[in-house]
Amino acid sequence: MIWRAPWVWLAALLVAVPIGIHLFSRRHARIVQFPTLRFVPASPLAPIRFTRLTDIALLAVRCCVVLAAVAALAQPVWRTEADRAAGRALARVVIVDTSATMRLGRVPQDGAAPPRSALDVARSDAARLAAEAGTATILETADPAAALATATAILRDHAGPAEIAIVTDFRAGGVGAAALASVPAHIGLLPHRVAVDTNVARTPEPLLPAAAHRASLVARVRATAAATSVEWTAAQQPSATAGAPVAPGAPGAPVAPVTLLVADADRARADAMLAAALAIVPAPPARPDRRVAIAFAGHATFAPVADALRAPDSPWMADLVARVHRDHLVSALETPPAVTATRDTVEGAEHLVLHAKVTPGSLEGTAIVAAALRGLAVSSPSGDPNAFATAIPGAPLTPEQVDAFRRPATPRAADAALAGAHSDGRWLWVVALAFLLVEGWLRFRADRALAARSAAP
Amino acid sequence: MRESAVLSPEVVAAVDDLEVAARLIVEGMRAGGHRSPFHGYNAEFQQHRPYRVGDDLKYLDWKVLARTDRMYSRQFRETTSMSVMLVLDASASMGYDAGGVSKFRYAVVMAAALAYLLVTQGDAVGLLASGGGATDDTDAGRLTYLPARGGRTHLRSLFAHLERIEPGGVWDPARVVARAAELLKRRGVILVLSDFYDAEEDTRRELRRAVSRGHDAALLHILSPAELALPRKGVVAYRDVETGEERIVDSNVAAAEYRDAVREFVTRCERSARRDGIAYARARTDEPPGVALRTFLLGRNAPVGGVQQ
Repeated sequence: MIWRAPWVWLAALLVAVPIGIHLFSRRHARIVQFPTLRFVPASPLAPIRFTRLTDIALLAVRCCVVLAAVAALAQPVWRTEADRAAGRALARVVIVDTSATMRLGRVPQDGAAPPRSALDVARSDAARLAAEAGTATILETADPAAALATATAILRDHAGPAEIAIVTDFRAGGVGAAALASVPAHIGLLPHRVAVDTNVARTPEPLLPAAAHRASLVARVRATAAATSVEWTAAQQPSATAGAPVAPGAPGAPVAPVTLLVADADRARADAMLAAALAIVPAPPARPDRRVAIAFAGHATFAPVADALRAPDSPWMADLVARVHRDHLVSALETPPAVTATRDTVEGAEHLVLHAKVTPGSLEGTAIVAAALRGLAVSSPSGDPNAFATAIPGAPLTPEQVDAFRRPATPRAADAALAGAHSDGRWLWVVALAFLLVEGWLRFRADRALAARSAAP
Repeated sequence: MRESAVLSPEVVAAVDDLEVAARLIVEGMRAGGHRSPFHGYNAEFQQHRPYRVGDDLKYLDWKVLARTDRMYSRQFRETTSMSVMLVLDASASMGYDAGGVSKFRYAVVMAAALAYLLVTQGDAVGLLASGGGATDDTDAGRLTYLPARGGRTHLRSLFAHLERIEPGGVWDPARVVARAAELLKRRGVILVLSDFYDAEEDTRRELRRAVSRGHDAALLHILSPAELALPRKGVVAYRDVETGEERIVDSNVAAAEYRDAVREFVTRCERSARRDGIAYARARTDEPPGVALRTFLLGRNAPVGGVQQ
């Protein structure tokens, strides 16, 4: 048994009160007027009834009432063997990061297996970590740093070892040393990195062989409420039909409002994508203050995001990025591609560069081009506050930085572990109440016996 | 006695007018068909009648029996002028009130009822009360005295004196009984109403002396149920209301001994009275006065002295 307030036992000195009452209450006899003392015998007074068993029992019961009440106020905590065993087991809270980089990222698999969603991998790893512990709780949150407070609160009352496992891709700007410093020292930390590869994307088959890059291509795009499909055909002759799509660069072709950055080998594919997009979306008016370039996989500018890249800083840029992400053609894709945005100099002019992690000439690429064209057709910014949220994901932390977060769980002292435990003193109050009932019964029985002895003849 | 005629002591004591209370008691007693047993001294011979079984042999005419071999009882006609002196104990012990009717109030009501009964039947009744604030036996000035007389006017005066007496102090019963015997100018009845806690032996001696001088004596021993046992539990300091003496006892231990002592005292009083030819009756303050009076009157079998012929 452990006492949460052991200092209350000083009140046990109050047991001297009933003892004092039994000792001193008889010294002052009541004065009663009586007609004559002829028949009142001068009986020797017994020494205050110490030897009367009834009074000794009554005194003992009263002392037990006081002691039981004091013990209840001292807040005992009974811990069974099961409680102690449960206290020794590891308690773990697993925080699963569900932010955008985890939702959109992919984890490469071994062999020819397609990459898995980073979030799926995180959830399966979290389940495994939870199963390893004695008791576990899984928290899914887009802000793991903010969830640390919740995890700490869950583990605060656990007497045994406690640990917080964080399942995330550990990027700069997410969970860091500053956030982890708020976790109490006795709670262990287990960082679990999900290896998200942002460069991995679906790579559909090339639409055209490399040798056909000079051919004229005609793309027929069929867009329905359920899906969008594109049919590429090689045209023998450039079509002069009014309204028919005109290949970019051909005489009479309009100035492309977007610049497609592709490898030289993918130029034809890029032109086909632009033509297909223009067949779907009317070309927006060219604006020299709003230049947009779309970089595809294979282009020199398509590289892992570096710290030197500049983030978009204009409302129209944020608006365009948001519109591209929300465009129905992009969202209708089976796997929406990841698109990031930066500011860069292209052909000597400042451009908003959309980095599309897709192969030139793919359906996804066409959808992105069309979304960009449609977005440029709108003049006012959307005011989307999250426009920059997915502009640049933070740089991933190094393995050494992540390992520095790790620390083991430390079992706490018994008294600290009891800070939140409920007292079992209520049972001692029941005991005190039972003693009170016994005390009342003893007094009642003594009074009845005395009344019987003093009854009139 | 019809139950409807029996009034509880609380009811009777609550009646402020003693005359009314006395009438209630006496008429209630008479309704039961009981007559005064105070057959007087100065009775005149009236006639003979055949002896019946049960007649008192002292009224048997022996001369007629000797002459005629027939048994005849003599009947007398009552005349008035029997004198009764009511001696009332008004000491502090009589004023003990345990929550019901005090012994003194009960004695006053009984004295009033007896006076009413006697006067209405033509006898003379007087009053001698001692106590009432006297602090010792030399305080003779505290005696309340009314000579034995008859008549309604005297009866009302007696009631008024009874109302004015307040219990308190001590009394010397032996001296008062001797004084009562002196004050009765002719042979009469000395009726003492008391708890007899004081000077028990001296009182008995004076009563015997009064009887030897030709008077008739009767004792009405008044008790309170609260005195028959110690009233408190535990260690108690009992203070005598007359002397102020205190005695600390453990009531739980002393209760049995006290109860036996009281019982022995009461028995001794009765036995010694009977032995001395003195009429004795006990009355408890929780007993209806009418019942107590009836019991007292029926129990009077003491000789009433000479019978004038």
